[in-house]
Amino acid sequence: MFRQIVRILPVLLVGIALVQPEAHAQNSKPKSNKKSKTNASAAPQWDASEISISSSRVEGSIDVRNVESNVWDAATQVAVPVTNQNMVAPMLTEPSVDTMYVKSIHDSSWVAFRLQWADETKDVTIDSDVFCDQVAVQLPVGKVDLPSPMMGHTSTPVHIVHWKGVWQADCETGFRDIVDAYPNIWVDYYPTRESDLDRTVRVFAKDVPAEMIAVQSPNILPGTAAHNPVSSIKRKQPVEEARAEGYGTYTTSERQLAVGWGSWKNGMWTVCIVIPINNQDAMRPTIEGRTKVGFAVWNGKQQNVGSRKHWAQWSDLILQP
Amino acid sequence: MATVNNWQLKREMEYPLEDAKPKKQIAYVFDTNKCIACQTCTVACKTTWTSGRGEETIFFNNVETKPYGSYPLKWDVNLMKEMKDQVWDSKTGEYKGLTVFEATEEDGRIKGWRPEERDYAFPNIGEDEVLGTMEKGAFFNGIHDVWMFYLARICNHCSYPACLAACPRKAIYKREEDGIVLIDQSRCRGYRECVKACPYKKTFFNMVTRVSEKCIGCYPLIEQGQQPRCVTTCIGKIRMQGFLGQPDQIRKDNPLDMLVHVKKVALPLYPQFGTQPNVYYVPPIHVPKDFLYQMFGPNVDETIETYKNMKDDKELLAAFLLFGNTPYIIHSYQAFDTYTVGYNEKGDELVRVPYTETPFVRPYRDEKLATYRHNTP
Repeated sequence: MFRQIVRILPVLLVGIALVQPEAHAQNSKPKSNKKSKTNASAAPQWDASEISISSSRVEGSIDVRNVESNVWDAATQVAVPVTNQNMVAPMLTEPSVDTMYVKSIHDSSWVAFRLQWADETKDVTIDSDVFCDQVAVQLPVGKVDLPSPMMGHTSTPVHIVHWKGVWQADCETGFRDIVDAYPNIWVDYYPTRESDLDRTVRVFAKDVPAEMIAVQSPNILPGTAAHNPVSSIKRKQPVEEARAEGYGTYTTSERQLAVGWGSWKNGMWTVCIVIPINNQDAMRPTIEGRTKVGFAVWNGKQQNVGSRKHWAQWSDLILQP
Repeated sequence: MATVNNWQLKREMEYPLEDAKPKKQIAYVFDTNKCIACQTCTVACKTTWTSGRGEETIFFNNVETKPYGSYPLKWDVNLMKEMKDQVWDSKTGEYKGLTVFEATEEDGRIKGWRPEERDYAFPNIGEDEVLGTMEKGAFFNGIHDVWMFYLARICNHCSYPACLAACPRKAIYKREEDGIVLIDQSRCRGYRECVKACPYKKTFFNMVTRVSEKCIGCYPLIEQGQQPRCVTTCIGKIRMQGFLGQPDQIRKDNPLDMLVHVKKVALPLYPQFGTQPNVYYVPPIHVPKDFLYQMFGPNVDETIETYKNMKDDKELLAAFLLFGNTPYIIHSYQAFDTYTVGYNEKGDELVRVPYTETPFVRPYRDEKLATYRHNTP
């Protein structure tokens, strides 16, 4: 019942129309696939960007969780300037990151990015006034018109792979429940603890039976019951793949294929994000030859969240043969 | 920014979105003079909607003791400090200050503040605490020297919601059929822009699901023609929920229109914020007026006068007597000679309440149990 959307405001209608790319794609999938194949060999005719990132070809597998692997030695590091997003509200008025250091490698099937930036604090939790560090890689979908570097536009969507510190903490140490945040908490009654009469066993949110969340009590964990990826309590990957067609349209992709991992050491984040190169799926970017890549970074300590972020202009991404 | 008409401010104001009025607008009247802060409403709401993990500090409904009580901490004081001068034209009754949409932040966003985690740690701070001192020889002259009152609060399902306007993802929407404001739980990503923008601080961040939640106006009940849980469980019968007409579409047989528009006996909470809130309060009658002007706007005197004279105004009395006497939504009512009747949307009678309860005296001896009734010390 929480998923009901009533369309009342014209502006809201536009918003809803924009953010249902999956539904739209399902209808137009055969056509799009065909188009994709036709254009497969044609490189996009986009002007060169100021910054060019060369993705070296490597042999063997890429271990995403080993961010300091010597497989990265072959790649050339590129400094990508980032600026605070001050074009669209809500804006980031005070920047705290100015440069990202980017390396890229590929093995013909997957392209990997290693992103580094200075951040004095490791912020990987979330609370009412606590925000987490995040980073994202953005790629254009389609080859005709170059999308806006600010999350694309209606006819020119972008694909985003988004790593979140709090999601990695979920993978590393388990889902952060209320008792993890407040070890001395006492609650008289949770509906999910009815059978727990002696009150000695802690039943965590992740232990709540799926059927209870989905069917019986959507008001126990509403976001989770509504299948919101943000509210997932059984997370396996710290990255999320999404599609956007303009501001405020970030929508989780149906297929989650990318992987990622991050490590914070001595005031520096190092995050690896690995994305499949080409999968014959018109909804996803086809990464070959020369294309574009964009980045965004959030500093949790400075309450960066959503569009309150640092972003980079498009860079050229050149996959070396 | 669009220009919209806010009748509570008697002027037009700036709002980030175009005006889009729902077919019906949910509204409530709360009589603060009858509230005893028993928190039955709070508990009814909590057990119905927010008993899950991460919802420990989420109170869609709370009752706070004014002036010291506030949840989250200093929700109103903090905002009023930032809004500076909130002045009303004494002749026209027009609001001359800036609303939260007009007194914007540096980055052009709606004026607001985001509570810290600690601000949610004291749900009933200031309970029963009074303001003022009692001097020797003091006597009651209509306004108490030492005072407090209880303020029951829920989401105002505002006509111009700040939470909705602040959401960059348009995850918040106002229902066309009843004006209830909801957060789409599948679309929200927990940016907390709504938490910052809502002047009443009635959107809450759930740290377990990592998205925000708010009062849903018990819409599953509304859809079945019933009043929300916080209304029907109120033991003091201080609340009524119904639908409020626009000022140019007043229906005198609608008890909400009668109370708010015709008799003007209930006032919006902090109308100067500019969201055109839809919970209307009968102000407490024995509290210093300056405090009430600040909280309910400039019409407090007339409102209290009307309220005090209710016994001589059958139309008004008839509307008040319908409070808490039926779980169903009253769409219209009629004042008869000795009783009042509330009707549903179809015109079926829902409840009949006499103006004066018939006295019933129990006999001293209970013949059935063959015993005398008496008080046992």
